[in-house]
Amino acid sequence: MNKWWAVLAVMALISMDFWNWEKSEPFIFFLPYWAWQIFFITISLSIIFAIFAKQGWRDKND
Amino acid sequence: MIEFILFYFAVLFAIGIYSSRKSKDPEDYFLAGRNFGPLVLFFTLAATNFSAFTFLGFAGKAYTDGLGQYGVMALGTSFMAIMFYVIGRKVWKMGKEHGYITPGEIMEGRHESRALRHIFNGVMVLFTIPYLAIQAIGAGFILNIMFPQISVKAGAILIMVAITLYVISGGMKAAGWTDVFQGGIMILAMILAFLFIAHSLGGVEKASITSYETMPSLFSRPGPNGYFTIQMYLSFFLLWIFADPMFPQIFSRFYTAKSEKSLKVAMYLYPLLISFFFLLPVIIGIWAHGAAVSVDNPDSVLLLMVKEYAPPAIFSLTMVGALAALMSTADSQLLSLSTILTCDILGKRVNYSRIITAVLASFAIVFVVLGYDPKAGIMGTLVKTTFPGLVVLSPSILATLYWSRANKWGCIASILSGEAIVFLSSRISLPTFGFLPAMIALLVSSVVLVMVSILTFKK
Repeated sequence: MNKWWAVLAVMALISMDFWNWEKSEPFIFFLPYWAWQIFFITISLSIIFAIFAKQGWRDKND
Repeated sequence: MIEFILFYFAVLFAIGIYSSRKSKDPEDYFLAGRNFGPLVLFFTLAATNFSAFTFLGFAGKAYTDGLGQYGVMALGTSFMAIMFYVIGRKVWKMGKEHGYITPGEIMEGRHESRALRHIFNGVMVLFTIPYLAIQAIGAGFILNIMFPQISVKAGAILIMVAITLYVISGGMKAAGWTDVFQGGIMILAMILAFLFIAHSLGGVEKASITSYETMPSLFSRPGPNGYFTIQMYLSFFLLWIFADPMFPQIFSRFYTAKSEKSLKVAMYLYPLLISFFFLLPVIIGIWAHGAAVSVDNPDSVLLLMVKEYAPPAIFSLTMVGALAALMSTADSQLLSLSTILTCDILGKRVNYSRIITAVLASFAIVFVVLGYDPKAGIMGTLVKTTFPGLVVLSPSILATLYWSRANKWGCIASILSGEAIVFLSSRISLPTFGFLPAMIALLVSSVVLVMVSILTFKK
């Protein structure tokens, strides 16, 4: 179980991208880089949760 | 336009009537027989949580404060899906084992305290009424734009009456199944609105660049007015994780899952939907600057953009999509609040719940008529009222589910101290160090819970 919390903690740390404050470039397609980062973090969470649901979430005996 | 609206309401009422025929006992009415499968649960959780705030408020906030709105909403709400496991799984199990219907019954079951149950449920009811009224206000805006002869307040009252009618007839089954229908419309409308507006503005890239040239600060944080500071960003991140599961309309959905598989599927589909669905209204709000749309009320910017830059059919569909977003939230709020009040005060009786539903709808209308400050905007109103009021419940429910030393005194003290901070911060300026006052309330309620539980612990 602990490894899943560690993964979540890493994702949370990446989410707080304080180093991107005051920045609006580079612009990729129609959004700045940091907005794409948020987009891909949410997609990644979906994938992580799907794997967790399969491997880490036990239906019984917990 | 009118055909769209009539078709939409006809489907809602048909589902309401069909659901009423399928409801045989109180558990059917209050919790859809604890039988929502994965997709119904996912859609009902999403449609219930994505409200007028999502459809209109996001675009309005992005219009005034920029793209940071996507970050503060999408990240915290995506991470919140883990609460379907942390809280939802345990609540679902306990509900099934003990026949719980309202959130407070879990508190009473663990701590053997009816007072704690009433405090927990009372806080949920009290702080959800402003959120319910916000949905009505959103409906008023939409109807007023569609039909200018209908005032915002009259439109709000009309929609509340319609919602009350189908909730009364079909209970949770009606709320859940209409959520699937409304969720589908909402997602389709937002995608089509985005595509048509982008096309009219010369493509997504050109639309963004034009806005960037008009106001570059829209595309960086803290934004044009300096709102999205690092402290605010962190505050909202934590606020959604801990406040969203405390919405009674979300909490009660945990009881309705058919199996753990329903919760699992909802958990991993939720961030996927958020990734793009939250971005679309935000970017439309930002594009309004490049398109030089004249906006008096920021919360109406999305509808004005669609009216200006999409064909009439898409405008009509977007209107219905916005109505779907707020009605799917309001119906669930009405039902969950009436369920709490009925089960706590009058017993698990469906007919009493129907009367309470009508009374609650009247309260929401009174809030609309007397108490709503349009200058505060949708987000401003909720940040001051509902969200801080509900977030202080999270330490006590987490401790109840996971900490063996937690007791009723700790939980009661935690909730009361947190609400005291919420009340004080609305009256006087407390030191918050740049964070939302709700975070101070969350911190205080957590510390008090631990201290009082330890001090009053008996082996």
